Amino acid sequence: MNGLQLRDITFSYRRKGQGELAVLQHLTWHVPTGVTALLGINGAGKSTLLSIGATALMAKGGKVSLNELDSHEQQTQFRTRVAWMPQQYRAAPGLTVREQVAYSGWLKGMSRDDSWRGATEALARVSLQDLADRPASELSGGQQRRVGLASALVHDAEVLLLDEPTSGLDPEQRAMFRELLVKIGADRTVVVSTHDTGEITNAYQHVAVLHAGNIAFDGALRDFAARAPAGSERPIETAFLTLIAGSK
Amino acid sequence: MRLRTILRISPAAWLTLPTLILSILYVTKAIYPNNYGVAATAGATSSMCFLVGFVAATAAWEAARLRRGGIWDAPHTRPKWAITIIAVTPSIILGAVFLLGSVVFAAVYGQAGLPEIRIVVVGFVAICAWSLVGFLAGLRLPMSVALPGMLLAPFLWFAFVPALPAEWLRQLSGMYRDCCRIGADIAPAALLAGLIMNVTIIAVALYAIGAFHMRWSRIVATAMLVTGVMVSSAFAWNVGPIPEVARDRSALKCSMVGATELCLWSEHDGPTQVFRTTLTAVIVALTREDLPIPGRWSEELASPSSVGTLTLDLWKSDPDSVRWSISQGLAPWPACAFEAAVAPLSGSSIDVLRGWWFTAMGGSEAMLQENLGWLIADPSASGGIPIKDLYSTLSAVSIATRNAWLERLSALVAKCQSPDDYSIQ
Repeated sequence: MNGLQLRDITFSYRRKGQGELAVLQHLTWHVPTGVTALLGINGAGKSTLLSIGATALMAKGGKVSLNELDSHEQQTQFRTRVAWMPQQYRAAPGLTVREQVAYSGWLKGMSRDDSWRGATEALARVSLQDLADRPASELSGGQQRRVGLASALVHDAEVLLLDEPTSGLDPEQRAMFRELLVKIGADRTVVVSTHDTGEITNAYQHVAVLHAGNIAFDGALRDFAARAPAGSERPIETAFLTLIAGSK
Repeated sequence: MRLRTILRISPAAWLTLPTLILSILYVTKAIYPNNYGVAATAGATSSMCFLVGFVAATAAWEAARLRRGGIWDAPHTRPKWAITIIAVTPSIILGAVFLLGSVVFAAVYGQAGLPEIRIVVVGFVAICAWSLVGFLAGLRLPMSVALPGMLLAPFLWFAFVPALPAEWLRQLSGMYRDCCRIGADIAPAALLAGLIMNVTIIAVALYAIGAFHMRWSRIVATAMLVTGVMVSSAFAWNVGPIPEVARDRSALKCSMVGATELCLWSEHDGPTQVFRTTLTAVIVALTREDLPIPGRWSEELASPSSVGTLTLDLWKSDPDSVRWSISQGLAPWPACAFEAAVAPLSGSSIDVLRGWWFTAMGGSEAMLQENLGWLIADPSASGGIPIKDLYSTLSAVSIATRNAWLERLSALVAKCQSPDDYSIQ
C-alpha cells in the first residue's frame, strides 16, 4: 500500500517514580495524500506521533513505512522522502536564514550547491527571501517558524509532518500559511498537528483525531464537520468535542 | 556548509592565525638550534600542551551549536559521523596548522633539516582525538562546563601527566617533548603507545557520539577505553622518561685525527658546520700538550661498550659551546653521584676539572664566566686559590706535574670526593 503508514504503533514515556506513561497504544493509521489536520487535545501525543512518523523517535512497537520503505531498515531512503518540522523550532546560533535552510537540505542528503539553490526557492515559498541574509536567531518567533517550514520544504519531500506550525504566527501569516498549504498539498502528503479547531479551514482535505492513544477519527473534512449537529456555529469544534466526549 | 560561512561563524577559523603565531613564539623559547630533525620536531610538539585546548574547546562550541539548534537530534539522512567530521574539521585544521607551523618553524629555526614525520603523524592523531573529545563534551555537557573543561583538560593531559612519578604515562599522550639527543632516535614503543592511546580515544569518542542513547553505551565505551589504555601502557611501560633509543650507526661518520678516531652524526658533519673543525683543532691541541685523552671521540650515546670513548653531547654550534661540551665529556658525572647512599658530589671538584679542560682547549673567558662564574667569584670553593691563578700556574708547570694533578683530581671526582687542597704538589 502506498503513502505513509503507521502500523500497530506503541509508545510510552518513562517517568521517574511513575513508571511507564503510555501515549500511543497499538495505533494504526494510513495517512492520506493531501493535507490532513491532526487534531488532539494537549498531551494527546500528536508531537510524539509525528516524531515517530519522521523517525526522530523510535516506537517501542509497530512499524512505520512509506511506499513499502521501512523506516527502520531503509532509514536513509525513508528520511529523504519525509520532512519534519518540530514544535520547538530553534535556529542554530550564528547561521543566517539562508544558511540554516541550506544546511537542513545538506543534512537531508542534498549536495552543497543544490541545497543552496533549494534554500533560495524554499525561502521564497514562505516569503522570507528578503530576510535571507539576516541571522536566523535574530528573527521573531513567527519568522523563525517560517524558517523551520522552509527547512522542511527545502529538499522537496513527499511527506511533510508539521507540528503546530502556526503557533506564534500573526493572522496575516496564518492566512499566508494556509495558501501555502494548498499549494504544497496538491501533490504530496502534509500532516499538520494542532489543538486549535479554529485553525481548520478548507485548506485541509482530511481530519484525523488522536485521542486516548489511538486514531479516533480519520476521514474527509466534510465528513468530520457533518458529525456536528446541524446549525452548529463552529462545526469542527463541536464535532471534535462530541467525539472526545463520546469516547470517554 | 560553505567556506565563507565557516570563516564567518567558526571560532576555530578565527583562532587559526593567533594560535599559529603563539606556537611559533613558543618554539623560539622551547627549543634551541641543534641541527637534529627528530629533536626539533619533538620539541615543537610541546606547543600542544596549551594549544590543543583551543582545538577541543572550538569543537565543543560546534557541537553545542548543533545541539542548541536542534540539528543533532533531528532525523537526518547524513550519518552522524559525517555531520561530526564536517563539524570538527575546522578544529582539526586549527590544530594541524599550529602543529605543522611549529614543526616547520622549528626545523628552520633549529637548522634541523626535514621534520620527523612519525612524530608529526602521532601529534596529528592526538589533535583529531581531542577534537572529538571536545565535540562529545559539547554534545553532552552545558556550554558553561564544556568550554572551560575542554580548555583545561588537554593542558592537564599534556603538561601535568608528564610531571607524575609514573614516567611511562607521559608516553601515552602523543607528545614527545623530551626526545631526543642527537645520538638517539625516538623510541618506536613510545610512538606506538601514543598512537594506540589516541586511536582509542578517537574510537571511544566516535562510539559515544553515535551511541548517545544506547543502553550499554557507557559500559562499552569504558571497556574500549580500558583496553586501549592497557595495550598502550604495555608499549610505554619500559620506555622510561625520555622516549629514545640508540640511533642506527649508519649515519655516523668517522675519521682519524692523528691517533684519535672522531665520529660525528651526519647532521653535525656538513660543510657549514663548526663541529668537526673545532673538534679536530681541539684534538690536535690536546695531543700536542700530551694530555691524556681517549682514543675515540663519538656522538653515539654512552653504553657499556663505550669504555675508552669520549661521549660527545654537542648541542650548540659555536666553537666555545663545543669546547664546553668536550670538557663535560672529559669530566663526566661519575656513577656514584647518582647513588642515594653516597653523599652528593660537591660541585666544585668536577667544575674545577671541567674549567681546566676548557681553559686547556683555549676556551673563552666569557664562556668560562658564564658556566663557572660562581667558582671564579669565590676562591674558597677552589681551596682558597683563585681558579684563574690555578689554571695559569698549571699551564706553566711541567707536563708530568700537570698530568699528576689532573690524575689526582680525576680520581677524586670518580669517587665523588673533593680534595682539601687544589694546589699543585
